[in-house]
Amino acid sequence: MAVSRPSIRFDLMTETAVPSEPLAIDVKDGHGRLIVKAGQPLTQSLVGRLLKMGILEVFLVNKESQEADYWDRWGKDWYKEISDRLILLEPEGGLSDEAVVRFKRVLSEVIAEVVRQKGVKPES
Amino acid sequence: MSQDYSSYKFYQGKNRPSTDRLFERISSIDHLPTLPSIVRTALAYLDDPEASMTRLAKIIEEDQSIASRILKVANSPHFARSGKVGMIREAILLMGMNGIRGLILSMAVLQMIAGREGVVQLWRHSFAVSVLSKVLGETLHMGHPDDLATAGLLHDFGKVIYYLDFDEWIPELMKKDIRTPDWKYEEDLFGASHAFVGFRLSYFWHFPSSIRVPIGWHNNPLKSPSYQVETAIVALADGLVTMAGIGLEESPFPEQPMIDALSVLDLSDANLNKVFHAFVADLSRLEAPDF
Repeated sequence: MAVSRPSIRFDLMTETAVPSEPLAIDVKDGHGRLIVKAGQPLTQSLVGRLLKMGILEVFLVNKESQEADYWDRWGKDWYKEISDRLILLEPEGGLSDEAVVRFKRVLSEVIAEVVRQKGVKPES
Repeated sequence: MSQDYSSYKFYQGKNRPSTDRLFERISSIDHLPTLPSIVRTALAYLDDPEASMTRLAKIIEEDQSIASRILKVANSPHFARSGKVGMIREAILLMGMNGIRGLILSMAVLQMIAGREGVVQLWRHSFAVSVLSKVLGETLHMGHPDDLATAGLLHDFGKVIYYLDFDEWIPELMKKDIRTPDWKYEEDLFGASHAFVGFRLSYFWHFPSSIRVPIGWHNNPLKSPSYQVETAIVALADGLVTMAGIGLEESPFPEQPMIDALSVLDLSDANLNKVFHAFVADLSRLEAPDF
């Protein structure tokens, strides 16, 4: 995919330097209690605390995903990429099955919807 | 619409392995690969209807390698989001008895073929299909989520036998025409597909029909003899994960079974919309932890 993924995996066991990117996903403990909210930065002491709780990895925000047109680019690229993979369902020069047409239509609607939702920045 | 395979390129070589060789291998559990002793103990213990989670956790913890891998899975975004990260006992609670049986087995068997071509992709693909099968079941209120997760995890499990017993044929499998479905090529080459082999293996390892049938018919949900909805969910998850490019590089194109699965599930536009939302809205949860 030309556009990179919106979040990056960070292994707390092996990575030594604490990154500057904030958390992309809430971190909860073994009982489902919230420990750190998405958006908060990772610190050395937090890494130590998470490891003690048995949490081995977290997901961080990819800086690129903060760019204004990121989600728009992501949606277009991703839909093109997955459409290209449907070649076995689309006979060359022939008509696609009605079910495949519906599949692609609903999928493109959903991707557009997700892009709209993700692309909306909270007012500051 | 039924798929036309006449234009596909099947195995062109003169020699094929004897079909008897594969069928003999999957004729009895005694002919299957020997699993590590802790894994055998854990699987035997899981057969006990009175099995306790605490005792099972202690058995698993005796093998640090498998225990740490199970914890990695329990800490992956899909499970961590539900707030259930932590110790082995919690992982068992989180995945259910059949889920943990599937995970232990897949870890042990993948360990046997670790480092071989395509194994990392097999793990990533299987993990993603497992998570998505469960998510789709929950979204549509169909099937049992834990059984769907286990069937998804083990749906391509039959391929392991090709790695273990038909080592010299793996390069042949890897260089097949990418437009030819893997299961058709396997039928042509070995006499049976990975789905059939996986169905047999899952019988030997005492998985219930709700898991065995989706494994056996995920490439042909229309012909599933029972548990057709569960089979269709796994087939749909398999197709969507393939479409997203997660895992198996030798078969990067979803095939007709994905569309057949939609026909079995008979989804309205609104429900199809829900399925795609569940799939697209958070792709990070489909990412497998490193094996």
